[in-house]
Amino acid sequence: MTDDEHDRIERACLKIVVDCSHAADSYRHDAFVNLFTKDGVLSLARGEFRGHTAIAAMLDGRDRKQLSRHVVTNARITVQDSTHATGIVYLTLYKGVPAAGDSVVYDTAPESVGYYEDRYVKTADGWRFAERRSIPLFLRRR
Amino acid sequence: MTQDERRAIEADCTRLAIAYAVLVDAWRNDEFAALFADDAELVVPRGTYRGPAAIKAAMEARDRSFVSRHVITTVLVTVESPTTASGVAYLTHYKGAPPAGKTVVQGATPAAVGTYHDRYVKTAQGWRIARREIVWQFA
Repeated sequence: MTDDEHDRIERACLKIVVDCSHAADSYRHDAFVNLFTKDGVLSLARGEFRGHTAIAAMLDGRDRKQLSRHVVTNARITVQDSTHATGIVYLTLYKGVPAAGDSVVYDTAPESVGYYEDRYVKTADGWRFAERRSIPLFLRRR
Repeated sequence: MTQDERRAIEADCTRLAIAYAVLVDAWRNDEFAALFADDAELVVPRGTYRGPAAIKAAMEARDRSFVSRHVITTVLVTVESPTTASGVAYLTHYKGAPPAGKTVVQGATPAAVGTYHDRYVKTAQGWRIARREIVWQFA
């Protein structure tokens, strides 16, 4: 594989990583689901969701009053071949429900800090998550 | 130097800045040490270490009951020549020991926030870290 091909794959995977945060935080569930392959797996602390229907149902169950920011950093993509890659991405998650009438949550402590273990695959429609596994390491003290 | 060459160097050095964090947090000490040039210097609170062997030994001596995340953002790489570059990167450092039998630490407040001051060098094997020093601003 040429350096150019390698860099293109890396950029494509980074793009879906960023898209995933924006789609989750802006409640664009169709966009979120379409970042996964048809049988893609999203594994969270609350359970494992396989395929578009299951992932969409989980997303639709979220409280829309809740604000969140999935801050992703440290993306390290490992290209395996022209159609497969893996990645480690760190997540600092902020979430909270604003008080009635407010648009801001007056509290800036992260809910959790951890990382994603990702598998990416190139489909006919472009690069998608085959699997995204979220592993929290630090949880807000309650 | 062409714009493409400069961008390629920026990308390689940014990868090093991030690989440092991912590998140190995952205890991948061999791969971590291989990010450094033969005469590289690492200046961290635990001490100053010279060369991949000393750096690897220092990483292996860490207390394994702790988990850490070195969250790297705001990476700025300045290409100086075809074989040298400098950089800064912000670090938000999380560190703690999970309770016995658990994998998750209670508390998600950073232990420290600071800045890495980096020097990168192109070796026969590719770009490597020549020097990395952490300077804390919040601790």
